[in-house]
Amino acid sequence: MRYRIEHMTRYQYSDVVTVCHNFAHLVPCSTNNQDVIQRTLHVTPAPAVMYEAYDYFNNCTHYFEILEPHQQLEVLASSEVVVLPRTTLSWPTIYYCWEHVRDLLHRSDEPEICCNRQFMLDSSLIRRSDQLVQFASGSFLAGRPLLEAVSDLMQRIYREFTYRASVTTITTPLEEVMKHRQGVCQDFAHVAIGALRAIGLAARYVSGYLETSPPPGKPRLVGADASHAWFAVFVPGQGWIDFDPTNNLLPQERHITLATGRDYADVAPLKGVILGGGQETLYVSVDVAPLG
Amino acid sequence: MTKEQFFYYRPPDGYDEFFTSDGTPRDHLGPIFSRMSDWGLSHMGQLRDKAKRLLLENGVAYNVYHDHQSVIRTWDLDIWPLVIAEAEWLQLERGLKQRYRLLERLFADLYGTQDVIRTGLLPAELIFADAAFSRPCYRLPLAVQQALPWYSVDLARNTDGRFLVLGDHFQRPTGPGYALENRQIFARLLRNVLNEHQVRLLRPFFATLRTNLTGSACQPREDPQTVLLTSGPQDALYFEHTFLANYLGLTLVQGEDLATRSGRVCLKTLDGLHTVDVVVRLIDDRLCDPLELQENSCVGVAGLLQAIRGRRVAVVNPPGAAILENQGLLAWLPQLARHFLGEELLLASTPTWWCGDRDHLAYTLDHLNTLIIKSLGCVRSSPPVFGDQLSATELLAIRQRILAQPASFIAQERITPSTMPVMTDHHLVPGHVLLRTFLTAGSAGTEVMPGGLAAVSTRSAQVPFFDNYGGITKDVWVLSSSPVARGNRQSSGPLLQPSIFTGELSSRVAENLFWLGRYAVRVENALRLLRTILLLPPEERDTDSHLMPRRAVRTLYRAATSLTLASPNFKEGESEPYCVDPESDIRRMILSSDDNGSISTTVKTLIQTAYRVRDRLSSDTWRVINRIHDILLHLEGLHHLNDTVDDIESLLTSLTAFTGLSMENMTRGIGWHFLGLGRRLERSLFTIDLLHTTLVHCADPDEEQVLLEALLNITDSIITYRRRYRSHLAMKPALDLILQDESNPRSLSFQLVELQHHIDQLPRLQPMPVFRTPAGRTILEVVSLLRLSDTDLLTLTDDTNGRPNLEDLLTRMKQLLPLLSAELSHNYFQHALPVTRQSRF
Repeated sequence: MRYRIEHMTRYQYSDVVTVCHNFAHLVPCSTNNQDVIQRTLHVTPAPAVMYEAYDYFNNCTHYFEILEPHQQLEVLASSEVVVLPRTTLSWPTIYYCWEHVRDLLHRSDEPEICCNRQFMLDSSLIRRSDQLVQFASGSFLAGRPLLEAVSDLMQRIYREFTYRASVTTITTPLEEVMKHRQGVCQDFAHVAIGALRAIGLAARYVSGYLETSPPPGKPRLVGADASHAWFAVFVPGQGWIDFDPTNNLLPQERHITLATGRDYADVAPLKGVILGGGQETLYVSVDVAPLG
Repeated sequence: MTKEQFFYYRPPDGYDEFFTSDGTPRDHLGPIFSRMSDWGLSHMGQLRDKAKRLLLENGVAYNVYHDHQSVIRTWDLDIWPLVIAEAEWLQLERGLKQRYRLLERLFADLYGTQDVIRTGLLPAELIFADAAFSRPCYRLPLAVQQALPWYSVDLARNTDGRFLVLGDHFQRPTGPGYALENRQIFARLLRNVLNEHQVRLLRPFFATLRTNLTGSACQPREDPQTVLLTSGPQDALYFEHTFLANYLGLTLVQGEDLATRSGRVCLKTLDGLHTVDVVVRLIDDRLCDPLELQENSCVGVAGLLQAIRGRRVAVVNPPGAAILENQGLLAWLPQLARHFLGEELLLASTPTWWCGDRDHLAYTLDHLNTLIIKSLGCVRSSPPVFGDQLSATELLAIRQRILAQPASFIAQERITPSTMPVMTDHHLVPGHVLLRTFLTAGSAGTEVMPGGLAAVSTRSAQVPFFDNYGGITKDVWVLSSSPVARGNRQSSGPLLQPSIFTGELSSRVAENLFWLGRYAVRVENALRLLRTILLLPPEERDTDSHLMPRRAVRTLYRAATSLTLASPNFKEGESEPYCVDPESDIRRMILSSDDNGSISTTVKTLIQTAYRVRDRLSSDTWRVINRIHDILLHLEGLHHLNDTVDDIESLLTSLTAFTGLSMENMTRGIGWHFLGLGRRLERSLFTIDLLHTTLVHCADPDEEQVLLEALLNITDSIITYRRRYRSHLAMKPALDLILQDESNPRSLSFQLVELQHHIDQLPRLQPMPVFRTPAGRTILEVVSLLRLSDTDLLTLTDDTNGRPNLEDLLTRMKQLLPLLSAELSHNYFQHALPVTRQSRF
């Protein structure tokens, strides 16, 4: 499936910003299951410099500086991505019981496993807790195949948590989300990752986009989409397998990956240090257009 | 001499640096030992006191901002040095250099290919669970010559006499400045001893260090622009930062002095941005860049990591180096040495177990009651736990904490550092000693400082921590078998003339110099005024023989209260305000810590401002500042107002010395002009205010005599007046001398003309004549106003006994001069616009 993605971020300031330094994770890169055909990041006002680089997790990053006074910053990321069908899970991965995978992760000295041990540990937004262990144990029954257990966990998040925008922000701690059982896609991804790590598995955060279908008979609305987030679990020998707890499904060709990391903090779309500015208003629009 | 005879010094069991176990002095110490013990305790006591005084004068202090009693606290330097024999030192040096090479290879690996993690040589969790492993620093380009140009290592000698490493420092290998300072003091006290016994010099190390630091620049360049980045005076080690900056001839900056522009790091100076090649940072990793590292850091530079990535700047040591301070690594160094160097590790570390490893965990749990338990990553914040001091319940609790998160704990063997004598007031007692050594590597080669900083603790074997600066330190003497090239070099001044770059002035420094000038004059003015008041006979009898405060004194009180911003006990009487309790008022004006303008508060602000530009002030100037601080402490201890006059006079003398030194010893650069601007502006405002309070309303002739004399005293013009007029005091000549005489350096017009001169010399953003700039126009107007005034008209009185012309002139000037201050601040000091940080999504 081929998509054209436009992700626009606009900041308006009540006072003049004289200088700003920015760091963005706004442009996708090619992975096992997607090819990025073309991509651009267009910034207004024109930045004095812009550098592209790859971060620790191999995500594409941009650094740019704006040195002219401005009261509006607009960052438009455009890309064309071909999403490939996911490889089918091979035997015997599907039948691994989760304890087996857990022990393998802890004991093996395979280079791939050694490096992925960082996804078993606490990260800045996700800390292990008894609450998370308890939540995970509802799905991870003794001897259960790993993927079945993860699917069950995903399903429980989908059923037991309420999707509610603007009750959480990026600073809402995981404990709050667990307590009130509500949040948005990034909270649900964090809950799942935290639960998996709490019982000794490796899990990571995925930010990206989801193609939305318009209601039957209605035209597709440009800009009605939003950026999305889900999680992936690491299966030795198989790699990372994605799960979308917000929609209770295994991502297929409608999920486009933007970046991966230990949690949201590793892949924040746009960070900045600005001089001046006063009050600010943020406007974001995302448009995922299928090209066939 | 034996142990028993040596001033009753009795080392406990274990290794003693001075005596072997059978009580004879160690071989290498022989000559030094007999020389020093010949002196006897009283001479050594004198030396110790002298060392103490020198430390105080040099301001070797660690800064205690939270301490209200004193701004600055000194440490102790014990007179018995730690002496290390040549052969032993050479062996230690080999071990230190090997460790340096090893850790550098490890650093490059962890932030590069991560082979040690892939191959399982190093447990992944040890690195990944530590927040010090900084992913934004992954694959940052490293300097070609040497990734980590400087390094410091803490050592202790165990009971068997072997040196063990306790910790490695890469983020801020601080302490070399303190070591040098200690040596400079010893060189003054014991030059002959140092010479005779061929103690190796520290100076060559600093020359190598400087070349290695500046040589890290990405592009080869003759004199790379190198700055030392400090977090500022609130840093406990700020003294050392200023000391190093001066000694190495590098510019000391704070985060706000730097900015990244188009991917380059620039120093913001008064005449624009200048590219920086090397940043030697004295701040922690996580604080280096608020954009990619810790968001709320206000001491770093946004975009610093990108500038490194783009090879536009080199940062020393590169951010990310904190991972090498992870103490869990100590357990793996022997394996790593074999892997990276194909060598056995020469210098052992303190025995360490990392609980994330199953075998290490088992050992730790079995020996919990004899080990020290530390939590990883926050070794500094959470204190180590000593297993042998725990109750059974506490042991159980710590066991459970470890089991819950084994990877976050390490266990270390408790070692008993060697002992050596420490002078107390009357005798020698054993103290446990730690040694901090310093290394540098780069284009000028790898070198270990032949010496270091030793810290001693006289309390049990509890390891003395270097973080608690302010304890007892010792000089470290490394002996040499060949004569040491000497001469006067042991203690002389800075290594190099500061580069031209150093002359450039950041707006922060300019602002601090401006305020330094203002505070110094403000204190001086207040002191002169109060001294005059204290020396006037306070009371007189009125017509009915009632005791009344003199009117003149009352007038001067008013001037003093307005100057010191004191809230006095004036009672609004029927005719005019009448001071209820002048004595306690004056006490408050001097000592109050609530009134912003009291002498005490202003002096403290003055010292703090001086501290912020510590690197711009000579050591003589700093000695005077210490003296000012001492007098203030003495003044605060006095109970009777009459006793204060002596202290006020000493303060005045010291302030004059301060002014003289700061004005005379500073090159006539922009910094000097800002200092001058501050001084002249403050004195102008004071004189105007003083005249306004005292002369705008006429007093009766007797009172006027008293007032004029007081005014001439306060403005330090009385001698000129007497010499010139040889007559009794008259209004017109006195006013002329104080107000308009441009040849009197204390007159208002002299201040204004000087102000005009300084303003003329300031850099201008656009090429334009000075009178077109706002500040230039303002000063021109004030100067002209005064020059065009006629003394005859100014002294005219009207029918309400006022002097309207004088009042108009003073009022107008009082409106204009504050504008000048605002204009200067707008044009030159506006660097500190609020910075907003945000995470956008």
